Amino acid sequence: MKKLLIILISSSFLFSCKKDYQAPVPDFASWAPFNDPSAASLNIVSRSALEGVYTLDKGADMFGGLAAVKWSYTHNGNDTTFHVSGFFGKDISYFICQGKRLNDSILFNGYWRKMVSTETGIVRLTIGANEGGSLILSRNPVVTRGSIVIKGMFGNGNELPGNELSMVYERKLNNSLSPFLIMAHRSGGRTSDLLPASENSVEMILKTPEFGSTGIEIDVRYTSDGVPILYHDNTLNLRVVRKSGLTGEIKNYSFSQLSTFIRLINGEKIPTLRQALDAVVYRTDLRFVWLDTKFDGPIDEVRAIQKEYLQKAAAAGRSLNIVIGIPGEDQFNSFIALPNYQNTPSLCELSIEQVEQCNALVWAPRFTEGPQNEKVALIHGQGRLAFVWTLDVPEYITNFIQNGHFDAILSNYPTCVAFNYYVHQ
Amino acid sequence: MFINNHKGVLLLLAACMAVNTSLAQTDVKIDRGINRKKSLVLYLGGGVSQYTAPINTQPIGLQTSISRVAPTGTIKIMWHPQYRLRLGVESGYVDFYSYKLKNGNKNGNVRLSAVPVLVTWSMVIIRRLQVFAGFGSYFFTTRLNYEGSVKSSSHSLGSNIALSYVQPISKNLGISAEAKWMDAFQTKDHALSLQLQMRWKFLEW
Amino acid sequence: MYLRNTLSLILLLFMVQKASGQDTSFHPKHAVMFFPYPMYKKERWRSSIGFQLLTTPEDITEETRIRLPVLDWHGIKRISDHVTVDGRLLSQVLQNHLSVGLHWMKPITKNLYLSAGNDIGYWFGFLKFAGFNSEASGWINYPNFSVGYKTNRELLITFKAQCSINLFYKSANGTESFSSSNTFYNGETFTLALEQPFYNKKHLTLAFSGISNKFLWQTWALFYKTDRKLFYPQITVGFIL
Repeated sequence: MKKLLIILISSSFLFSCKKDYQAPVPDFASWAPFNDPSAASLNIVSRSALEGVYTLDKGADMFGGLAAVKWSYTHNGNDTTFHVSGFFGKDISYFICQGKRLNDSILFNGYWRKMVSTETGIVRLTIGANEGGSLILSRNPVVTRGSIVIKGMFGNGNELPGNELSMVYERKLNNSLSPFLIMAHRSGGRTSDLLPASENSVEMILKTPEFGSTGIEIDVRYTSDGVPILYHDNTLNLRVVRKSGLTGEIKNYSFSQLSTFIRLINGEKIPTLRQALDAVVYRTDLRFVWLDTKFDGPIDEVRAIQKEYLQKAAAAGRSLNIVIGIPGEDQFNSFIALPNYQNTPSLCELSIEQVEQCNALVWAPRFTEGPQNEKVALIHGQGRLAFVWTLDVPEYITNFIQNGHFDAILSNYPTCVAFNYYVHQ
Repeated sequence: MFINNHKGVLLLLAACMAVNTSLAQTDVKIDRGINRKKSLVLYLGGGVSQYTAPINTQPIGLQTSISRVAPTGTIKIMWHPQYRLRLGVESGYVDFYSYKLKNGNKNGNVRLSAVPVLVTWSMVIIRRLQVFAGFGSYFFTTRLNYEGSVKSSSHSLGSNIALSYVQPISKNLGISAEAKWMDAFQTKDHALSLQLQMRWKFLEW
Repeated sequence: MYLRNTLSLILLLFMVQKASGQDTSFHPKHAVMFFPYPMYKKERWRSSIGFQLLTTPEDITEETRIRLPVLDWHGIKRISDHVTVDGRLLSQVLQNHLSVGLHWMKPITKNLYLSAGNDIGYWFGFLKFAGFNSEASGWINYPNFSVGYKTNRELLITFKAQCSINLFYKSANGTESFSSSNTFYNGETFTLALEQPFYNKKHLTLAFSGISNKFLWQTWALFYKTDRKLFYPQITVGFIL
């Protein structure tokens, strides 16, 4: 019996260190000045004026020495919601806030997060009237170095903020590589990144502009009744969906069955490709969609939807490109079997010869080959774009932006790409 | 309990070893196992299982009933060497859970069952009482009836641990009562079962 | 906090045992690898060959799960009765880990043994095909502590606790490279090892480990390291030569 006890006690250690990680967005709603009835939205002039690169006076040990501050928006019918995001250089950290004016001051209320860990908390910032508030709210603000000071506090979890954060305006955001694209993997990030919405969901598509994304990659599969949906894995598993009793390959189930029984990890339904593109076209200002084909076989249905939504985007006055991804030989063969494939916008991950053969708009090599500046120049010379995927190591993101010539970086950490791109000189 | 109380576990370990220390000076009989026979033993039986993991289907909100209790069965063959630790293979069948669903005028039902295939070790801890621990895979089958029928399969790494009491009824036959914890840890499915099994020592040398 | 509690209680345990009897029944046929037996004079070397099976966390590595076993060679060289050099080679061909360290063993009673040691490990991996042009290497330090309990019917039970401290990391992709000599506490591994003779009196090692690490060398090519500790269950099977 003694041996059993020793074995049981020892065994208990084996699994004692297993942790389930979470990083829930803290409840930042209850800040009285921000909720003051006289607090009002900022206009486009003010929002544009305060975008820029800031130097951190206080909080640099937590977030790094620089911040890139940028606005984003999403539509819901006639309503537009604006968020101001700050992208930092340390530990893939960022803040996302709503902004308002109160008298001659500007208030930011929201949360911060570090992507390398589960650290998060409330952040409350103010631009005082004499510290740039009045300037930003003027009709024609001329912002110069040191003319805006954003001050405030940040906290841990749901605790009231108690740590100082202070940023001083340094310069405008970099736009030198324009139109450089910040592409978010799986519409915004993986489930393992503990973001507030699930990967490949409509909810994530609506969140991703807050992370600095200007384009998205989404994964397309077919259900058993031929409906293109967004889903990455081959199988229904607990990484992506909640427990339901349904197991095995997702292609075994019809869309009705999936829609009734399956919820993604944060409670969303698996969207159809149409639902996802509807959100992109009518509710965001995203400029690029990469449809990563996770299936073998005919691409006709996806091609028809691509064409339909390119037309809808054009009709809505949107500058949007949607490309069909060609990740392997099977998809390449299916693609070149399409009628008129040479005029179908595509992104090819294969050799440059195959890029030329299918007349892909984009060549997208894996980052593990390095910046490949000569090949990128060759592709540019052919009037095509070059994207690199999936780049998550901050040091590599910095190197690719500083020394590479790619037109887009696909990453699970668009906030890190945004920081490196916007502060680049 | 152990997992949530590391200090308690260590104190228990210390206490256990302190008890052992007091025994250390006694004349402990060393059983080298040289004269023991080796054998192959078959266990075959069945019982009921209770699914013990949460079923997180509430967001759907359409369930009419969830059934967590179902029949289960086990077959295993163990090699008993002359030493303490025994080795074998185990399989069987378990219905983890099933539920019905009503969505407007549409009805549906889901059943999740599994066939474990595990490498199993066992050890007698006191006379007639054995502990078993297995590690391997659970092969799942989902049967869904809702706007058509689907049968779909997957698998998960998993383990089990069991406590078994054997009542001999002849030289080679016995009846055992077994309490077993089954855990498919990749899919977070686990169940507790109670079974009656026949134990047959079918080969000895 | 947890580590401090653990270490202080292990120290307490050690003190409890300190006053008790010495080993008098060492039996050289117990040629085991995990159990902290001293190596007495006639024995110079002891080694085992086997494999490790590890499962990676599904939420991070997704469907790209490592299923390949790791070839495991483990050798012990006697320095004195109670001190050994412990060497280990783990290989998956494209990624490999070598370690060497000094271990000190102490019999406490006829049935209870302790050991403490420190190993230093070097790992390296390379992927040069299918769009990959990657390589990486690093140094890791492993302080460890074991408690062994010998049952009366030749089953030897060992509980081993091991820390992992990352000393150096270097990786390269194409022309891009990155290195860090930032030393950090990487995590801990708890192992329950069972060892006994099975066939022809040859000993078999069966060890179950729970690894909780920020970085695990076998996953260098799969994902970017975070400050989160990930859990890897592992089984080791060794045939003692």
